[in-house]
Amino acid sequence: MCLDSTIIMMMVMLFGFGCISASYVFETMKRKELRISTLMMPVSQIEKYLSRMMVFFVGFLLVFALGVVLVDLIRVFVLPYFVNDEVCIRSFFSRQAYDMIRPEYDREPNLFILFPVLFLAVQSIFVLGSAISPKNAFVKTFCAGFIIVVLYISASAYWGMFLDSIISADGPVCYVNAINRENLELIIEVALFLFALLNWTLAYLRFKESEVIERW
Amino acid sequence: MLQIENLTFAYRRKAAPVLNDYSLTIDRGSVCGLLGRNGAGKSTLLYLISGLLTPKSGRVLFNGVNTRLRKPSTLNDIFILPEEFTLPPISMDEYVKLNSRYYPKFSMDDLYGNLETFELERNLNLGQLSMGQKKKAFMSFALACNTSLLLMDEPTNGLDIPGKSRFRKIVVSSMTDDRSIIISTHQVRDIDRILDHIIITESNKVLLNEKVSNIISKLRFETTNDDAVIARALYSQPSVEGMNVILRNDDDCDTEMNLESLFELSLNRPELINQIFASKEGAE
Repeated sequence: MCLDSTIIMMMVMLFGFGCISASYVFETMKRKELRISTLMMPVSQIEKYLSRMMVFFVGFLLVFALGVVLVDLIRVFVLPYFVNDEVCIRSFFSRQAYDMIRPEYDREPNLFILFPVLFLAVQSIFVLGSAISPKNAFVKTFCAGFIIVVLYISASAYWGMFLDSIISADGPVCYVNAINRENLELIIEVALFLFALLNWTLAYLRFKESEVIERW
Repeated sequence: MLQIENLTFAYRRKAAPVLNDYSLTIDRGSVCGLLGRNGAGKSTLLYLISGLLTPKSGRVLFNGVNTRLRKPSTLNDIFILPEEFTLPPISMDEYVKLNSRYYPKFSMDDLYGNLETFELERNLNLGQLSMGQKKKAFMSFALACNTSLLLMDEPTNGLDIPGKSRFRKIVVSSMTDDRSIIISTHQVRDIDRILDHIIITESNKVLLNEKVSNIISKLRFETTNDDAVIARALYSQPSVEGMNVILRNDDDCDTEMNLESLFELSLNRPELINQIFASKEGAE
């Protein structure tokens, strides 16, 4: 249970810091002087874009992985002095941790694909946010995302109630489960990946067309 | 080398254009002074030339390639020295190591020579310099890149008095037949002696685009108190020593160009300037 919550905490941190890191992809575009030096660098725009992505996406993942290892080492070696709980101080990389996760993987293998794809999709939103507005990108993207999600949920709920009222008026309806769970998960995974690709492409196009003076 | 073809640019879709159907050609081997009033679009023009802005219509060709495409082969032959810039807080050596590789004609000897002329140390820390020193260091790097086209926006702003004369010295010594330098400035006295091409621009058109030698062959610049001379002057302007006047150079005299007076004449009597230089090919 204790290891479970630590893993969940790590995942939350991966998402959180991943989004913050993604918000810095276009940090060099936030001021006029920085934009000039970035845009005038004699390399192609795609190289500039990929190099930034390497630092703030691949680089972030490497640093995060290193951080997890260090945190784990500290936890395993320092925690025993304070906590007398074997499960809590068990390493993420121990056989016991593997044995605990393995059955979960066997039961729900799609979840282990869904998680990284979901991370890519969320990270890509913040990359796009950074491309659109490099200044305070994280806060702006977070707020915009929050508003969009709230509006979407509200509209869905309203639409659902509306459909319900029509369907009830017409009499009993038989709900057919046309898509099984596995297929649905696969569809969601593909959709999330395509969504991430779309966001990265839009971010690149926005960066490619950037100008020294923001005119909009 | 540089052709600006029917360039139209506005900062907002519905706003009045800063440049409207603007055309200009700049040849190799010249130091061009780009002069104009505040808001005439000088910096905008430099940004358009370097591909940092997208024109509404028209294009800028550098060696036949549209600069807006920002191709690496174009970017490594153009360097822009903006009025405001930032340098990272690292040593000059590190900065050079990081950036010089992108400029195939970069010369370390030129860089050291320029730094020496500006009385700067070779391995200075860019983070610890004053604004003027930063400008000198960046200018030294920009000139050492030996790009075919160097764009400078108000390069003498922030330079001390010796710095301005050293700047002139460096620009003159770094000139070759293969490169052009375009200097946009209000400080005409800082650069008037190093220019060999003058472009005076007003928002929608080029008022004057002439070689200095051609200007001097057609116009005579004098400072006088002689009323008769003042009366037949194309333009006169009071100064401490008398009246600065511009006359037609009918006698083929060699005089030193007074850029301030020429600028005023171009702005106040553009039709006259057009008439004087109309016969010359390349004049707008």
